Amino acid sequence: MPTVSLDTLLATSAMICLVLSSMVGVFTAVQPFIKYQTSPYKKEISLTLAEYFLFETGSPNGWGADTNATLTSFGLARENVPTPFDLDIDKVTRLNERNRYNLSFLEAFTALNMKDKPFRIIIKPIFNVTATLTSQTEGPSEIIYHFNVSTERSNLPVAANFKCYAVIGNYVTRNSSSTSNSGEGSIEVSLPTDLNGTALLIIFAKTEPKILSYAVYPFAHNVEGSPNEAGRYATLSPLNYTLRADLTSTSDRILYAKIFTYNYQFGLIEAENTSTTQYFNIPRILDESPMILVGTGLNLSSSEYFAEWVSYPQIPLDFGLEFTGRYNLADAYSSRFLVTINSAVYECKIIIGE
Amino acid sequence: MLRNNKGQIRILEVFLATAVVFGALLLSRPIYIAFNSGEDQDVLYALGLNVLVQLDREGELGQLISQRNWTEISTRLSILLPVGISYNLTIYNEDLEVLNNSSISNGYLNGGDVVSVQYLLVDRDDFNFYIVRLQLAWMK
Repeated sequence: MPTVSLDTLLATSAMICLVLSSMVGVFTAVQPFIKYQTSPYKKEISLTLAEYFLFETGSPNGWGADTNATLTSFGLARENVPTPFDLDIDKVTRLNERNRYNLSFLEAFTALNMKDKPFRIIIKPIFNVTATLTSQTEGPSEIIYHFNVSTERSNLPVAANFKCYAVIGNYVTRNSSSTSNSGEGSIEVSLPTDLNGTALLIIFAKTEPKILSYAVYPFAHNVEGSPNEAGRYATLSPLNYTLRADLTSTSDRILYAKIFTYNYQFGLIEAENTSTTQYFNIPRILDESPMILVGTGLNLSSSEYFAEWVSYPQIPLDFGLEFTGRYNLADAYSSRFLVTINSAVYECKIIIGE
Repeated sequence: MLRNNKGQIRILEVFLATAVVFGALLLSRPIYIAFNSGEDQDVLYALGLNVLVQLDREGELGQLISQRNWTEISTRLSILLPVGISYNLTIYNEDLEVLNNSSISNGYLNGGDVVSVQYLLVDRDDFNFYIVRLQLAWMK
């Protein structure tokens, strides 16, 4: 074979390889662009709709607190408030599926009057706080519990001041400390040995005014085993500044109900009760903090205290359809907002489907 | 000798073609980025305005500016903005003079994709008028 033919064959092969590799290269470079190509119009519509949820009060007026009202228009804003992004505590609380008075997605979707717009609303604190029991020291009349507390946001440490309460039965003790720039801190609380059962450690962490997060850590005090699981004795549902407790047994009643915020704690007054339900009035506390409502009682068979709790507003919550999975065909547009609920700031993510 | 030269020229052509194709790929990449960043800028703008509204709730931003507490403003912005966003805040008085004598920022802004949000506010205590300009960019 002449040398020129070999050269031509080599050059042709190289050219074919080049064309193929350039096709692969172009496809790789352009593929994300084609895959995520969206219409700016659709994006704008989704952002506007997300803002509509936060700016509009919905109807009828006060639909959050009024459980008998039929929702005709969906919106979460607080009524008669001049500033935007201020949400109603009861409207938000009713989005939580664990609340007795929760709003179904079908009701909200129907009230929206937009048949082709599935949506999902996620509201949570701006940062997370977690507590871990590290050790305990037993004394003659009390047991001292040592906890590690960590605060983080998007897996990055956050420095925060925190206050905590330990509750068992009618006994409450409090302490305060802070987490360092590494997001780590520690605290200890002591509980008397003449009480036993499930105790709660309630932690409120604050980075800036109005920016708070909380955690509730149940632990067994002065008994073997683990603390009672949530909802074992009662289910708590706050709404319209009233705490409803649905008891699982007529024999186990809530003896003490309390409210905790960053700066204050009070006992709740029982307003009404039946054999399986108790109602307590919640005071309107002017503290820039979420409220933690705790109900404790005595289990008659074991003579141990139990404890149930709920937050008000009932956050974190995840309301709506899950349509962002791998096998869902709908496109999804996500918008992130900061919202104020009862003077505290939370993060709200609204995902709209197309 | 003549035949060998022809072969060398063809090999040279292949290298030239390679340079042209990959050069085109490299040059076209900024076009995609520029096209996509249009939507990102809308998101950043909405985010910036939302953060400024929250920061100014109950007139707190005006009070912090009156106190010249730039550190506190920077700390609050850092916690309110999502992780992954660079910001730079500049505060002007009614004569458009810059008030903050130290930088209120969390890093360097990428010059190409910066979104600017202007916000007007009045300090409710002494009725001073301020213009706040928040510049935002995605960290890269």
